[in-house]
Order: sequence, then C-alpha cells, then structure tokens
Amino acid sequence: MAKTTGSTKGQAKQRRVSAAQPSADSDDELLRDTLARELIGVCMATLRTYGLDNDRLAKLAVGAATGNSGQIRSATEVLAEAQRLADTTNKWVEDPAYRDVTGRPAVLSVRDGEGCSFATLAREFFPERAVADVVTLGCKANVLERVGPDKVALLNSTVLFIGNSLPILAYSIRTVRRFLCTAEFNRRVNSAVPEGWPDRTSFVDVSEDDFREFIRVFRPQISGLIEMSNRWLFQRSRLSRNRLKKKKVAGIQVFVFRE
Amino acid sequence: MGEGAGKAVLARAAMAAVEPLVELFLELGVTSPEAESLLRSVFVHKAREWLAKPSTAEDSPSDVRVSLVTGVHRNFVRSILAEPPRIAAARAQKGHRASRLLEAWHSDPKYLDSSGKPRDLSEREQEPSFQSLASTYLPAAAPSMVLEELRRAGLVQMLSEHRVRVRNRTFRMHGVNASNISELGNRARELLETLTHNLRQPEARLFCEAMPSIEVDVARVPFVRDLIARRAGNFLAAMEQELAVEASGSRRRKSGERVRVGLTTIETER
Repeated sequence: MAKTTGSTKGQAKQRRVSAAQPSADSDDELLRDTLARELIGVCMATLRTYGLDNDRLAKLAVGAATGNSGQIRSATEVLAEAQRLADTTNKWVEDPAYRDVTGRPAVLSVRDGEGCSFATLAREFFPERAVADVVTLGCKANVLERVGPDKVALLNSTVLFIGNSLPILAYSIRTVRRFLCTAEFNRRVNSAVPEGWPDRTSFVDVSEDDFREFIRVFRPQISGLIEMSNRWLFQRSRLSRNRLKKKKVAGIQVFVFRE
Repeated sequence: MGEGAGKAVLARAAMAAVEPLVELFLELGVTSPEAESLLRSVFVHKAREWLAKPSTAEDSPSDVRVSLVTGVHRNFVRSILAEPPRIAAARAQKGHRASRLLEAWHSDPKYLDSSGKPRDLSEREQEPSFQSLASTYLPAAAPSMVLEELRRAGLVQMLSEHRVRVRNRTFRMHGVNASNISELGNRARELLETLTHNLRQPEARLFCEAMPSIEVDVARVPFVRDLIARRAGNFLAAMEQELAVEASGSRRRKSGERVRVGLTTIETER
C-alpha cells in the first residue's frame, strides 16, 4: 500500500527558494513547466467531458490567464443554493430543538405551527423562496422526503447533485481550489508534521469487486468522520466567545478515487 | 365412547395445558418444528423413565419397547436417548426467516442512506417503504404481520408518522430469555477475565480504557445514546475489517496454539 503526504521538508524549502529567485536551476524550471502543463491538461481533459471542445477551451484558457481567475467565484455562486440547503440540514441535524425523542432529526411540518417546523428552517435559509419550493429542492437533492401531505423527514445530511452536471463541475472547482490552498500552505511550512495541514492518501491496485467492497466498508467510516468534523466546527462557531472573531471557512473533505 | 372420541376429548384437555407453553415458545422465538422436535425428545425420554418404573417391571426398557409405546422409529429412539432432551439439530431453525429482511435493510442500497446506514422507512406510503422491503425479501408473509413480529421482538422501533426504524441486523428476541442470559454471562466473563488478566500480568496488559464520564441533561440522553451507537458501531466495524485480514493470514500459517481475540465496547449510564 502506498501512503503519501502532501509535503516534505526538503521539497518545501527548495521550491520556496526557486519561486523567489528567477535564476533558479533550469532543470527545475523545465520540470515545473512540465508539471504545470500536466495540471492544465488534467483540467482540460475533464472539461472536455462537459462538452467543451479544444478551440473553446483554448479561448477560455487565454481569458483565464489574462484575467484574475484566482479571484473568480462563479463556482461559489452556482453552489450557493446547495450551500443554503446544506446549512438548512445542518441546523436540522445539529440543533437539539429539531430532534425527536430518539435523538435523531425529527419529522417536521412544512406548515407554520407551534414549535420547530421545516417552514421556520426554510424561511431562515431561503427567505425569498416559498416553503414548497424548498421542499421540492430538498427532495431533488435527495436530502429530504415527503411524509404524508404536510410533513418532511431528513433523508441525508449531504446534498447530492445526482445527474446535474453544472453543480458537479462547480463542486469540483471548489474542491480543487481548496486542495490547492492546502498544498500552497504546506509547501511553505518547514516542519511537515506538526505545522502542515493534514493531507493523507492511501492507494493500491485493486479489482472492480474489491473496489466496490472498499466503498461499502469505508462509506460509513467517511460519513462518521465528516459528521464528527461538522459537529465540532458547528458547535465551536456558535460559542459566544467566538462570535465577534474574524472567521474563514475551514473543514475537511474526503473522497474515494479510482484512476 | 370410542377410542377416537376419547382421544379427541384428551386432546382438548391437553390443549388447555399446552397453550400457555406455546405462548411462551412464541415469546422465546421457538418455532413450531423446534417445539415439536423438543416435545418428541421429551416424550421419548419420559417414556423410557415411565417404562422403567417398578410397576412396569422393566429395569431398562429396550429401544424397541420405547419405540412401540411412543410411536417413534427405534432408530430415532436410539439417537434421541443418546443425549439429554433437546431440539434436534436438523429441526433447529438456522436463522429466523425475518433475518433475510433485516440483512437486506442493512445492505440493499435502496434502503440505505448516503452514509451506508439503514434508512427509516414509511410503513407503506412512499417508496422505499417497509412494505416493499417485506414484499421483496419475505414475499410469503403479509408485511403487516412481519412488522408486528419484528416490533414484538424489539427489532424495529415505531416512530411518529407511521415510520419504522430498524434496531438490529440479526434476529434476536429481546428480554429475559435463555439466549440473552447466556449472552449476559459471556459478556460479564469476558470483562472480568480481561480485568483479572491485567491485575495478574500488568506487563502484558489487554486494552481496557474508558473516557471520563460526562453529565448531560436527561433530555439529551437519546441523542447521546444514538451518537455512541453510531460512532462505536463504526469503530467496531472498522476493527472487524482490519482484524479479518490478520485472521485470514493466521489461517494460512496454521501454527499450533491459537487465541480468540475480541473487542467489546460498552456504554455506561448512572
């Protein structure tokens, strides 16, 4: 089994020097250009699967290179609705007022009434939308299901973009951007383990059957880890002593891959 | 009164005595073939005792004699008398018929949430429902009866809005019964063995750790129980997977002495 981390002490130091000094070793520059071309190639190959041809990609690449593409947040805008849905389910899962007697997220009424309802949640996170629209959106994203004529149950606490390409592309961009942020941070730290942000990978060649089994075994483990992380961050962000502090989005992301 | 009529009267009288026993068997999850097998075994043993009484003047009745009195073939009499009264292995149910449904609820993707855990299901209103699950995996039984059976055994929890939550992957009758008392004894023994081992051999300690207990509002207890169940369940599943690799490696090596290694997590409340 191979296990890797995102940075090593020697490489981090060497690359920082080469970035600061244009007269760095030409072999390094050649390797850097090759890797940069590979990164662009990987992105372009993926974008082709979304229907973009080479000409279009070349034009977009030129536009991105001349503009300040690092600051563009189109992906965030595409995901805004999904994010608000995630915030809705987060409150439903984490706020004790929205749990039933068994300790799990309660079945909620979509109508206004006494106590906590889905209508209250929908108005908090989707103030401009009708509650019925939010229910439809939640059902489409596989987050909730209808129970009888006027109630809903939480189905999954994860927003899934099944069969919808553009949100998945936006989600991929956000993932890549976040990963590159971590890599950027880690390449600038000198001591790999205590100061770098955790970035671990495990991979090995397996058959299709073993891969399916791998997913079955690790799906609950990954969900549990994400749930723990989410709960920790959610509770910490609500502490009164942290309310006025400047905050930035932080978290972990886990995914299974197969090349 | 003819012989047949006499037996009918006797059968009616015996029913009064047997009915509470049947109720007990139902509560304990003993099936009809299992009960019949047990009854036959007791019948044969009792017949031998009865024939050996002084009034019958037989010291040790032969298998043929027991067979004649009981109506059980002498070959079966011999095997039944070879051991104490019990349910014959061939008749003992290998698993409750509902086990298939419970297993499917924990493994069929249609009935799982995105974290791979069994979903709460509506009884019948929308798909996937308990009705569709029961119809698929226990087609011979009415879903409502299956649900009632699972509820009675404590294997499902009935929620508001006619929704159902599964509580166990395997069929096991809840409450005070022989199987659960045996389980209780095994758990207690395992814990005590580990604790005494650690007292006697501190240099070769077995893992036995606990987190400091916390105090929570009583209203939060259901949430905490659910949280512990999910986290500890995930942890045990992960350990089982990792240890399975070690077990298969050990099987291949086939060295002499072997040790059974296990891991138990328990929640405490006071």
